[in-house]
Amino acid sequence: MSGGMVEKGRDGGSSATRGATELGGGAKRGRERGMSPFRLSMRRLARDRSAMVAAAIITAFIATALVAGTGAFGIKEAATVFNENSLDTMRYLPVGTEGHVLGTDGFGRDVLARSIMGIRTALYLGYLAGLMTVPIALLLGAVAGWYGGLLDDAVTWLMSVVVAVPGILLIMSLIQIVGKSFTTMAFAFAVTGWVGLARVVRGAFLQARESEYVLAARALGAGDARIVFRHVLPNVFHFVTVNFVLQFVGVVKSEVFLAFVGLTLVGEATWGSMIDAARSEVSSGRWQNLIGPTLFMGIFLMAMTVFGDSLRDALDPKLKNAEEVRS
Amino acid sequence: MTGERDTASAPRGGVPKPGNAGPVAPRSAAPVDAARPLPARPAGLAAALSAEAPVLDVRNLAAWYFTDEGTVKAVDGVGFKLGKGKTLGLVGESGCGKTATGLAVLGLLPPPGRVVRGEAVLGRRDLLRMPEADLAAMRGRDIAMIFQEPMSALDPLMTAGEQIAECLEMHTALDRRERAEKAVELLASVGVPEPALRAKAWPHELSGGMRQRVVIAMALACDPKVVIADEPTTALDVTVQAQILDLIEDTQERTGMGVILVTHDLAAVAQAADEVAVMYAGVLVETGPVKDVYAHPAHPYTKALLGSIPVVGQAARQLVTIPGRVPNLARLPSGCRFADRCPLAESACRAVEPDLVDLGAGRRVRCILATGRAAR
Repeated sequence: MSGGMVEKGRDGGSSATRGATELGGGAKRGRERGMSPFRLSMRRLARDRSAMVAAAIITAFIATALVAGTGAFGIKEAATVFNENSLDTMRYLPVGTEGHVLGTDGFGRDVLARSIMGIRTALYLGYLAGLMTVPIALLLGAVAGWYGGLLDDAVTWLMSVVVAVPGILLIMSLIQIVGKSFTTMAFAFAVTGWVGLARVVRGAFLQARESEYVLAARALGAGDARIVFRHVLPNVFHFVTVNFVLQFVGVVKSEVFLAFVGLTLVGEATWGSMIDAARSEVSSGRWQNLIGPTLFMGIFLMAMTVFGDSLRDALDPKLKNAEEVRS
Repeated sequence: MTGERDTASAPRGGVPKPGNAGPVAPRSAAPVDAARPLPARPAGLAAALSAEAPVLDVRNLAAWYFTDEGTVKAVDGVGFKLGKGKTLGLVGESGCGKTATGLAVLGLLPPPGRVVRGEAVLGRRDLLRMPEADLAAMRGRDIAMIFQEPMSALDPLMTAGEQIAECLEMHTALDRRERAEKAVELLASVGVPEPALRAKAWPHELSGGMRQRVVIAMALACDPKVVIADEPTTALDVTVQAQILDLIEDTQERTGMGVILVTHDLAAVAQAADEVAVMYAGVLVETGPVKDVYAHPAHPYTKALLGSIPVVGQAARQLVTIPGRVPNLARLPSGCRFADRCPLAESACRAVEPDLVDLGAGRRVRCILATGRAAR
C-alpha cells in the first residue's frame, strides 16, 4: 500500500509542480531563481488557511509552555504550590473564582496553571517519543526495504508481532518493569509506535530501490551508502516529519489513558493525572479538573491533527489530488 | 590487445565464426568509413586509430531471470563489438532483451536476473567478472548509461547541477566549486540554454527534453569510453528526438566514445547508428551496417520490422504487421525462435535453432532460409 502511495505521489507531484512552473514561468522568465520542492511545499502550506490557524494555535501553546516553565507570572508556582485559601480546609474553589479562572483542585492548586503546565508534559513526552521513534523506524524500515530477503522477513515479522500485542498493554508492562518516568514512558511509546513509520519507510525504500533515479545513480558509479543517504533518505524525509507530528496526538492521548489506569507521575502536572483526579470529583459536582485539561487537550490535539494533515498534503500533494492531477 | 583482435570474435556458444568481424567492429580503416554515407564522420586519424580494437567487446552474453515460473532467458548468447567513436543500434520489440543486455553489461541487472555466461571486455578487463567495487568505480567513468525516462531518472530533490556534479564528485578530484563550474559547462555542451541558471533548477522546473539533456550530461560528465543509451528519445517529443540524437553524435565526434543505442525506433537507428543489431527473443537475428541491412534485410524478422514503418512520400502501401508476439522466454519453442510468426517458416525451421551465420561484408544473420543457399 505504501509503495503505491509513493508512486502516485511522484507522478502527481511532478505534473502538479510542472503546471505551477509553467504558469509562474520561474525558469523561463530568466533571472529569478526557481523554488526547491521543499520551498514549494512550504508555500502550499502557507496558503492553507486551516493549517496556518492550527500552526498559530500550536505556536501559542508552545510559547505559553515555555514562558510558564520559566516561572513567569507565577504559573509554575500556582500549579504546584498549595493555595493558602484552601490549604486547611481542602476546599475546592469553583470555576470562575477571582484569581482562579478555572478554580482550584482538592489541594488548592490552580487548575488553569496546572493545565498550562500540562502542555509542557505533553510537548516533552511527544517530542521525546518522536525522537526515539524516528531512528528505530528509519533503521528498521530502511534495512527491510533496501536489503529485502531474510532481513525484510525478520523486520516484517517483528512489526506484525508488535502490532499484534495491544500497544497499551505493552506500554503498561514496560513502564511497570522499567519504572515510571517521562523517559520510560516516551521509550515505551517509541517501542510500540515505530511500526507505522517503519512500514512507510520500508515501502519508500522498496520503491526507491526499483526507481530509475537510483538505477541512474548506480550507473554513474554510486554505491549503496551514497544512494541511501544522498538520494533515498531525503525523499523519505517528509514521511518522517508528518509522522512526527501525528504521533504527538497518539502519545498525548495515551498519556491520559495511562494516567487513567494509574500509570502517571504523582505530583507532576499532566493532563492525564488531572482527568484521573476528576474521575472521583465529578460525581460531587467538582468538574474543574475535568474542564481544564480537556479543553487544553482538545484544542491542542485538534490543532496538531489539522496541522499534521495539512503538512502531509503540502509535502506530498500527489496524495491529496492524485486523481485530478493525473490527467 | 592487438594480437587478440582477430580471435576476439571467435565463436563461443552462439556467436560468430572466426575471422568474422562483429557488427560494429571497425572494419579495416578510414576509406571504408568515408565511403559509408550515413552519418558523415571525420575519416582522419581518429578513425584510423579506432580501427585498432573495439572499445567494448561483448561475447556470448547470457543473462537470465530466475523466476518462479521458470528461467527467462532474456539474453541468450549475444555478442557484438563496439568500435571507438561508433554507434551500434540495438533494436527489437519490447521484451526481446535489449535493455537487459545493456544492464547486464553494467552489472545492474535487477534480481532475479543474473549473468550466467559471457564476457564484456572494456579496455582489458571483463566487466562481468569484476568485483562490485571495481565495477562501481568504472561505472560513470568508463562506461555510462543514459536512461529511458528523463522524468524519473533524476532525483526530484536535487538540482540539475548537483546531480551532474555528483558524478564528478565520485570520479574526479575536483573540488566543490570546480565541480559546479564543470556542471555548467556540461549543461552548455549538451545544448541547454542559460546553463548557469538551469544548473540551479530542480527537475520539476525542466521540460522533458531539458531533463533528457541533463541525464545525458550526467552520463557524459566523466568522458566515458562507452555510453549505453537506453531508449534516449522514446519519451520525448519528435522534434526533440532528432536534437537529442544529434547531440549524442556531436559528443561522440568530440570525445570518440562508443555508443550503444538501445531502441525500438528504427528511424533513430537509421539517423544515428553505424551498425545495427536486431534482437529477437534474447538473441541477435541480424547484424550489419545500417545502410546495408535497411536496404536488403536478410532476416524475415528484420524485413517485417522495416515493413511495419510507413515511409513518407511513398504511395500508400500495406504496412506489414507481425502476427503474434514474442515467445515466452521461459518456454522457448524448439528451432528458430521466430518460426511461429514467420510467414516463410518451413518445417526445417522448427527442427534446429539456426546459428548466426556470416554473410560477408560485415553482415550476419540467424536464418536458414537466408543462409541456406549460401551454405549449400
